[in-house]
Amino acid sequence: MSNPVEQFQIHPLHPSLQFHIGSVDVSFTNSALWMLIGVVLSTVLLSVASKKRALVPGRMQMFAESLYEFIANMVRDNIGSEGRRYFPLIFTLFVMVMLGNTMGLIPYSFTYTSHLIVTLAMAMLIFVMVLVLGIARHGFHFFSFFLPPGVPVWLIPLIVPIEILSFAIRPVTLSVRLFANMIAGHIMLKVFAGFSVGMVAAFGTWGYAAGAVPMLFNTVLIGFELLIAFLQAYVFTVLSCIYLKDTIHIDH
Amino acid sequence: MNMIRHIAGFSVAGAVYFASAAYSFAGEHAEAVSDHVATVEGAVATHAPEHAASSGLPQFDPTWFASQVFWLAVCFAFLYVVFAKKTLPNISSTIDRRRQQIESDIETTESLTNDSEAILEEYERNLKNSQAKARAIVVGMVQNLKADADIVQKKFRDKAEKTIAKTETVIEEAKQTALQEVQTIAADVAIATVDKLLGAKVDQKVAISVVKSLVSGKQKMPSPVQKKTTKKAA
Repeated sequence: MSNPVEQFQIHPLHPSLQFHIGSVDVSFTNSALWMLIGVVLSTVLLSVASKKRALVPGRMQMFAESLYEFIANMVRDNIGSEGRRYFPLIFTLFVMVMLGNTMGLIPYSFTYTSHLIVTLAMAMLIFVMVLVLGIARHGFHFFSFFLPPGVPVWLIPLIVPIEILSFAIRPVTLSVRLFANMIAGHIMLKVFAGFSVGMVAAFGTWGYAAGAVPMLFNTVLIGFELLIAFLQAYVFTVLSCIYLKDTIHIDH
Repeated sequence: MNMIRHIAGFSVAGAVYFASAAYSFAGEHAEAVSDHVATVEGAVATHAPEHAASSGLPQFDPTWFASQVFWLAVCFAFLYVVFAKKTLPNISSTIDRRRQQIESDIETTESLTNDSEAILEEYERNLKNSQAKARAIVVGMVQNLKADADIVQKKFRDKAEKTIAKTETVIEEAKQTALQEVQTIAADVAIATVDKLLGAKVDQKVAISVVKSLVSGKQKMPSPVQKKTTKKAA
């Protein structure tokens, strides 16, 4: 258990859950299990919380409404009133990322947001949406995106490739940011936990006292990781909002 | 927006640095307990035998890429449908309903406040009106009483004056009568005197006129005796 990257290992849960679509292996893995747990958890929680529809909300309803207002404000601030149509998407994105990040902090769980392919898939969803909806809405004008107004003619050959690159790299930065934060945090936690175990193995009974030190450190780290889990979900969704804004109006 | 980009950039750099540092650190640690590594690698090998050789991060093992994307898509789509069709409209209608309730409550309060203000205003106006009316009534009463008193007073004065005037005439008449009687008596006395003294008869009318002239010239005479003598002499 002391290899800190073993926690990222994916394996099918059971031979009976090994599925194939054509020749593609889509088996139900531990990663899929935690995605499913997240789906069930969020669906049940939010359904129960929004079922009562009380005028004076209870604790659960208050929580659901706070989350709703939080995302609604984020969408309104970053996209504008026209961003309402992206609200369910951003909400789902936030819940998915947030749950992946936080559930991953439960010992023996699996952090699906620590896998680049997962974060990349979500980032690509946003990127493709921006591209398709942007061109559908603005037509050829969408490509003026790559040419900010007021650029001197002699700078155009330099500016346009830079703008294209900065646009094309968006899904990469968006996904790598989340993935890297998650993997770093979890490795760090595992390394410190490994210290504790290692000390017990090395010093016997006294090792338990010595092992308490890295454990204490881990306790603090868990707090930080919770903050990062929220912060990265927030950053991911805010940036998605900013990117989706281009489908509505092109800034320059 | 720039700030968010900066923070994001910073966090990427930091995360990658941490990841690499932690990973290399972890690697050294793993060497120290090589028997553990052996079992881990054994485990990895049983799970993914074809990739056992590449001991990199499981994240870069493409074996499960398709499966992860597939289940992510399934979960994401399911969540999206549930949220978009059910949960979010529910929450938004609840929030809207509450907002409307609060707004209608505020409106009711405002209309009630306005009503009470109007009632208060009317009450004050009524109070002012009735005060003015009462004042007018009092003033009118005082004036009426004054007028009545004036009339009574005037009547009384007229009556008194009439009485005084009547009395005065009565007195004057009495005076005149008395005076004439006195003159007649005086004339009679004079006639009688003349008759006795001179034996001459004097007409009463003449006597009266003489007496009258004597009375009218009385003021100039030093004394009635002298007058008499003068008259006698004459």
